Amino acid sequence: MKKFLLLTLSVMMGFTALFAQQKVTGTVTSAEDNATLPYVTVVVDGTTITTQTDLDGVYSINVPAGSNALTFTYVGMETLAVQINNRSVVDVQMMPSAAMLQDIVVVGYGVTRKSSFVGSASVMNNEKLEKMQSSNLSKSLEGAVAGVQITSSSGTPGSGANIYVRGIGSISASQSPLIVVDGVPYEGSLNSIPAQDIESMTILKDAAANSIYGARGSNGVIVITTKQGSADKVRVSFEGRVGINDRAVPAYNIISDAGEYYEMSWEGMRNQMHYGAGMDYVASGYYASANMIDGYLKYNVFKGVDNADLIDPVTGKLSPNATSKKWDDNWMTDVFRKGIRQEYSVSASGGSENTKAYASVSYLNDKGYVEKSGFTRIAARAKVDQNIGKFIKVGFNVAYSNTVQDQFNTSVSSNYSNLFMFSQMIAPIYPIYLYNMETGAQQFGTDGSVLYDWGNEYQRPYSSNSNAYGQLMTSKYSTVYDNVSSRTFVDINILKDLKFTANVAYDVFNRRQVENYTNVGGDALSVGGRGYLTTSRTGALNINQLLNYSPSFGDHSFNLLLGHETKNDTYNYLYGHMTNFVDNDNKDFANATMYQDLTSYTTEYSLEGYFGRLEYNYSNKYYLSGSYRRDGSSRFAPENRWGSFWSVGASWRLDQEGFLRSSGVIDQLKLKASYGTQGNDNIGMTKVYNDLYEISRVDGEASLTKYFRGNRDVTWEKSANFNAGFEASLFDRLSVNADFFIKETKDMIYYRPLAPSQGSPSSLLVNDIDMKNTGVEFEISADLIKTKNIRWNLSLNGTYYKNELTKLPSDKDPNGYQAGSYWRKLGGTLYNWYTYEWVGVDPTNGLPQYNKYVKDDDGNETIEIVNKTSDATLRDTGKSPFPDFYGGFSTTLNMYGFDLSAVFAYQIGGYIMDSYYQALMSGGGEGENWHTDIFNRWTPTNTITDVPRVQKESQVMNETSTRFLTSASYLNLRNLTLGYTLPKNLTKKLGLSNLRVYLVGDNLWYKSARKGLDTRQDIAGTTGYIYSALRTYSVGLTIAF
Amino acid sequence: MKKFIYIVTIALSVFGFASCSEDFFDTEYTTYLSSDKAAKLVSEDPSFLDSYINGEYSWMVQYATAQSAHDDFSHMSVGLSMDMMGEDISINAFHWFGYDYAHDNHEYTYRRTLVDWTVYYTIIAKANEIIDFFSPEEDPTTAAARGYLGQAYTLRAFAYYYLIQLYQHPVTASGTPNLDGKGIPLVYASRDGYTAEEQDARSGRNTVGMVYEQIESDLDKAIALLDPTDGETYIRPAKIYVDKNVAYGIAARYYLLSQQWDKAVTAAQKAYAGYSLMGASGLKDGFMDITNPEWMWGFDHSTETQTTYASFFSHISSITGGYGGLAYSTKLIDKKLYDQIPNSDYRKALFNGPAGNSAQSSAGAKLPYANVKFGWLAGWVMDYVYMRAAEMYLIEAEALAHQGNGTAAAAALSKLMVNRDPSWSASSVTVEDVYQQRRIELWGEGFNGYDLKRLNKGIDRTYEGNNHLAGYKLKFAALDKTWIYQIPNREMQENPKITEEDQNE
Repeated sequence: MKKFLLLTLSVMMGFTALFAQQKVTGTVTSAEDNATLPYVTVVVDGTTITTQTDLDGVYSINVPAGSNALTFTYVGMETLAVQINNRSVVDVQMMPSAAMLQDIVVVGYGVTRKSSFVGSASVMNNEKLEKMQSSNLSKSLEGAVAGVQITSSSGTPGSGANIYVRGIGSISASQSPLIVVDGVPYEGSLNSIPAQDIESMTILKDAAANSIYGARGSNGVIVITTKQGSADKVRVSFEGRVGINDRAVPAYNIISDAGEYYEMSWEGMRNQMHYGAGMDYVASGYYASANMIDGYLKYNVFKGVDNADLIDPVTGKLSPNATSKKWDDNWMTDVFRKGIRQEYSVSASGGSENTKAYASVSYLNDKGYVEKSGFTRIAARAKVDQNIGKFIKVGFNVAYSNTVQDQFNTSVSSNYSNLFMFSQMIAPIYPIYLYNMETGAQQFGTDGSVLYDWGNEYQRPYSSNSNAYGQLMTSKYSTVYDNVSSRTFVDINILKDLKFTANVAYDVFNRRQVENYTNVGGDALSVGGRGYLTTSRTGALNINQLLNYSPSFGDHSFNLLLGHETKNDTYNYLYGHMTNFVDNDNKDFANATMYQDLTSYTTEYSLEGYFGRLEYNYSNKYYLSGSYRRDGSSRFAPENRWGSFWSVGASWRLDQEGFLRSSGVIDQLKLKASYGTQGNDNIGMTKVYNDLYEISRVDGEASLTKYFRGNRDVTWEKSANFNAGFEASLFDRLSVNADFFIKETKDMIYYRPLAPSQGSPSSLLVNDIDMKNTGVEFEISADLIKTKNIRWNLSLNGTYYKNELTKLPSDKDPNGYQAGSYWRKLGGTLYNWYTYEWVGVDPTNGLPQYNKYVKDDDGNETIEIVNKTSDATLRDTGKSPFPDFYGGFSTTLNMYGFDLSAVFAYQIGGYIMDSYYQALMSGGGEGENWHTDIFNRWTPTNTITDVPRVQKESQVMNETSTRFLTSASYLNLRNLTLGYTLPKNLTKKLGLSNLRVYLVGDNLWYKSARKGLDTRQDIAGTTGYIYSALRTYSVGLTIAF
Repeated sequence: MKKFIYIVTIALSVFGFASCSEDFFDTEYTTYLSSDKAAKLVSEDPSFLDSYINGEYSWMVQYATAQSAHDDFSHMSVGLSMDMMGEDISINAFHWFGYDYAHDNHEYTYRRTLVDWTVYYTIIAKANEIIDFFSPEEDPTTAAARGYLGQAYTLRAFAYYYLIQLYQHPVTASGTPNLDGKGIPLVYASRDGYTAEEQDARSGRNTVGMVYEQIESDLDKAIALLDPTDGETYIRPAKIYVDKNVAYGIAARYYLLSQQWDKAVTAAQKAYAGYSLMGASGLKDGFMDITNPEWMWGFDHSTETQTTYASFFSHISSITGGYGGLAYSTKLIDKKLYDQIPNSDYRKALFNGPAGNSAQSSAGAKLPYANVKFGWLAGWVMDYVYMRAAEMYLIEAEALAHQGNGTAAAAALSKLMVNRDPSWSASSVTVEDVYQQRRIELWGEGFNGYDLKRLNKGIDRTYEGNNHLAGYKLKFAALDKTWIYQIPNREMQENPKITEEDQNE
């Protein structure tokens, strides 16, 4: 201890001249552009002697006798070690670093050198993150990291993506990884953190990396580290970009021509009268012509043609007089716009030996391509680390952000105010605005205001009493968040090898959400407008205490971590509902007259964990690691509250062995393996061990309705992970990482369906299914060209995995059972599609055909063809939504100051049930549109086809079957960036350290099996009327002082 | 300094590493009432059982019992869907309840089969929960306690009464009770005294006869509790609750179904005892006010319980801003039935004639043959009617007519008709005559679909000049497979006692 103190003191007081010494000077330049580099840190190897280059890149340092090497470090450059060899002038050139963070991996409760890490982790650094124009960090991960799969159910600016690490890991409990920001689990949205504030995102994938997070690490852990100050001069940088948002995935090909729509509707009506109601074929045609408009569609868009003359009753063709239209509203184009996206940030960092500080302010305004949709964020962060005396270091890190998300009618539901459903499904004969049915003159309000066609005036059969665009323009759905995130720590060095750390974090998320349905028309017209107001407050407290002991004896190094963590989250909710709003422009309750509902509640969650980790390193060649953690969760009954999690891992650095050291080919080679367990208690229920009743009101008296069936036996869901892999770098150019993994989730928590004769609620939470993901993932990065002025890098990552059920629920048939649209059997996936087998169209009558499997008394199975799915047999298709292979590839070219990069994401294999295409292939009904594939429907003259005949309101023409299972493969040009960085000698003259201008585009190109189908929506392979993904083009500027 | 650091460190460690107490895990959860707490509240004050009883009645008007669809609003949506399968209601356009109108809703994968099953089995589950608060050894002795238990038994019988008619034909081709037909699962409270094995054995498709026995046994228990031979009688605080009259009313319905005519007459008489009938003016009040003296049982809607578009009045009323009023699917009276109502009958005014009524303000109420029986109140707080005294007179009359006692039947019916049609003066009536009055009197209230099945009738919407919707001018014979539902998919999957062979056609 005394020796340690002395040494530290001497360093601090500047006693460096204890020995004879030599003065060395030199200039440091960048190999990229020959510019001199200021503020490069120069260290004499084996000493604590250090200095920095000045503004001209010149340094001067005293080297004691016996030292013969200098190490140069600079952010963004590869660290360089140079032998002095008795020179007094040592000029050096530094090479830019592709991934400067490569050396350090952020792990649970600390950091470790990558070389000594036995687990599996991937890092996405700030350079990559800042390129992406996602307002939510989660979306930046698409295709970026091996083993990580992304699905997104909304493209609304600010909305997030679901992240799956090494496949789906749960059914009813959360499938999302644990997000850790600066050492503490983060309960807020990732849209509250600007990408510019982030140093790195590390995805921890295996047990060796995760088990220390025990409680909630079973779906992987994403560790986000924010930027921090550096102990040198003040750096200020500004980043700005402006761009345009557009729709990335186009709509389905639907009928856009009114005449074509009328002809098809006529045919549907004729067929319905003939095949459905048994009317004579010819008479049916006359009936359809006479009644199509007046009795069904109601709207005749053509001028000067009588309703009954629109379609020729014999030929079914549109009248040749139908040439001029009364209105020309287009639901596919008129309701969308181009949104402007603007993003600006300023950050400053700096410090001294004892103080490091970082501060940033940023502003984002991301307007969607749907009117009234958008996301704005104002964020600020301040971070200070301070040494107090010699043994104590304290720090705080406070971030505030205000986010506003506007997103009316973008829900996935088939709600008639969903613009994406409405604009796709409504027939192209119905206008957006209100017109005079006879003259076609547009109608306006008495004050000249725009009037929408709500469908009531003329009894539009599609989507009664609504107009999704009118609803959007006159309603409001806005969510405001105030996010405050605070982290403080104290580090105390007790002994040389013993350190105590305490972290206290408290995050607060305040939400205010206004959901208001207009009183101008639509759903809420009859109640004079309808408003919901929700406010909530989430407070998340996390305290942990860590004791680190890391002694070394010769070639043996140890690192022991002991820790204790407590977590407490409290959620307060207040909700009100009123109707009858006086002034439609005022969405507050002060403006509403009729009370409807009011409620509030509090939920609280507590977690406590004890943990330990021991790491051992022999001679920097062999590494062993073991961890153990015990967690208690307030969700479970006291007797089932505690769970234990552990891991073991080992790695071997072959490159440190003599036989490889001098090969000249292998720069680095490491083998590693680990096994361990993690838990998951994140089940959306605050407590699971009691029956719960909802209290509602009947005549002011309480009324109990059972909401949840309690189960005291429910406990931790656990996942066991095996990982084996290698990390190699070869020829100074190529790096390859690959891992084999088995991730098995045991005792999965799921809602076991009960027979509905047990009454509602008809499900019970149990731990009763096991599932396994087995796979391989790899990351390859190659510097194809690496010269002074040209660097060209190519990277590829890919993941293959197989999802497999390893234990079925104990109450189920061991041969397999139906779970909704899926068949579950041992060896099958969680989501094997279970549906009817489509066998095409009967050429004689145009009816759909399906297989019916019939077993005779001897058990022999024969197939009959039937025309309705209710007569057919459901079959396990063996197909699932899980892709066989997914990942991304990217390339970066740096040349004479220019940088060009392209990032692609891909997925191969898997099947989606394209139910929204299915909806567009109906027999016809309610003024609904069709996909243009309907032109190939069966008719008496087009009998060889796979599209059944149209027949209005027939339920059997587009029933769910293998017909609508569609490949989930896709390829997406995720990001394309072209930038130019001014030469350093030029920027220096301007008084800047860096100046870069660039063009960037996100989601520029997307290709899947069917135009309009975005296969990235849901892990279970379903589709929704989602706010389709954004495409963004921007121009940007980065300036650093 | 060194000492100080040690002390601080050790203090922090000890403080930090010390275990949190169990209180730490006893977190706040105020969203719901736990069963432990609820049971404690009952043991402290038995009147808390009110909340369980109220749970039954709020469930009966609940939106989205099984799926979020606007035609799933519990008990009244079941009745309306059954009415739609008949011929007394026509519609102007295909919309919600359209597939019921088309007789295309009986398959096990459809929403309707699951919703109806869920509605009534949940009533049973809730009743069993209440029953289990009472000791199996002895019956309660206070009026309040008898009220709780009596209501629970009545509601359980009520639920089975509907379920059995929805999932099985109540009569055979010869018109006799279909006692050997495959019935439905019976679910018990522990107070019922069955062993686990017995309960398990009865969780499959018991015969219709066994289900009838259960209904009868529950009704006997309920009536013994609600109309005790000695001791204080339960007096209900409001018409939303079941009392002895309502229990007799449900018994009368059941005896009519099971063709026990004498018992039906007696039960009907006891049910209407004390109730008066409304006259010409009351008929025009919109069938939406529970204070109507003729209403025996219903639901008194308030802001908190109303379900707006997904409500009975949204669909049935031509005057609301709902589906009926906006003419998306206005419920019209069948032309033939309309023509058969004498002009002297006050009830004829509850329907538009062939010319419609342009004086009405809503699009629905303007339509030819549109009903204007059901009214509208701002805020959607129209009350639901479950049982009216008029129905009891009709049961009495029909049961007497079935016994061949036309004169007595006419006398019973005349008690109703004097309030409906002053020129009505039959001295003897047949079952058909009574049925005709049931069609007119109870139009749209959820009776006709069940009546058609009970009386072994088909429908014919094909007659010359009919006002049925093109494409749906259908004809279905009695006992057609579409008259009953298949057992819903989820029950087939999760109930090991019901096999594919047990499924309805």
